[in-house]
Amino acid sequence: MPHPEVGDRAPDVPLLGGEGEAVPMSRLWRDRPVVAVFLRHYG
Amino acid sequence: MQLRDDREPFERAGARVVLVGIGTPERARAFCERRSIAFDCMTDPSRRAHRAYGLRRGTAWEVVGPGNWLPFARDSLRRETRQGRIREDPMQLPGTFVIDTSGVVRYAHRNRTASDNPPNEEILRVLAADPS
Repeated sequence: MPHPEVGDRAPDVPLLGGEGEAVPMSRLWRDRPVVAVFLRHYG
Repeated sequence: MQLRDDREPFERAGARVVLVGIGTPERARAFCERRSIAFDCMTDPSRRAHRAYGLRRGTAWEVVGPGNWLPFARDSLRRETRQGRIREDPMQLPGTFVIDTSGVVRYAHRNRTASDNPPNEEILRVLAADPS
């Protein structure tokens, strides 16, 4: 399993937006730093 | 990360906060509306992103062991933080990352248990030190 640490390049993988559209993570950090909070679930 | 009432300091720090769940986009939208969460609510149903960031599934001890009881009890007292029925994978462990505008990881926190979320202050310190 990859394990990106501080100083490493962040994996640019697609996420799904609220309408189900694919959004590459790089689009999120293009203009502002991103705090990506990975959750266990939405519930 | 602790999600409640915290849009403002992150906005002031110039950051975009993105939540990444593992359910459907509809579930993400409903969750964020119900809790009035003002952050971007994205989802990763295939868990490709969770895997790419090295987030693993936890053991029963890590997810429901004694270290989680107090935070769970505390969250259960408030409607907006009470846990609903989990329809996705309850064993997925959370994590929080700060990524700068050149795509470099500036902060990486992988939860050791389901509840050891990093304090917001820790994340805000990283953003303040690295205003890219």
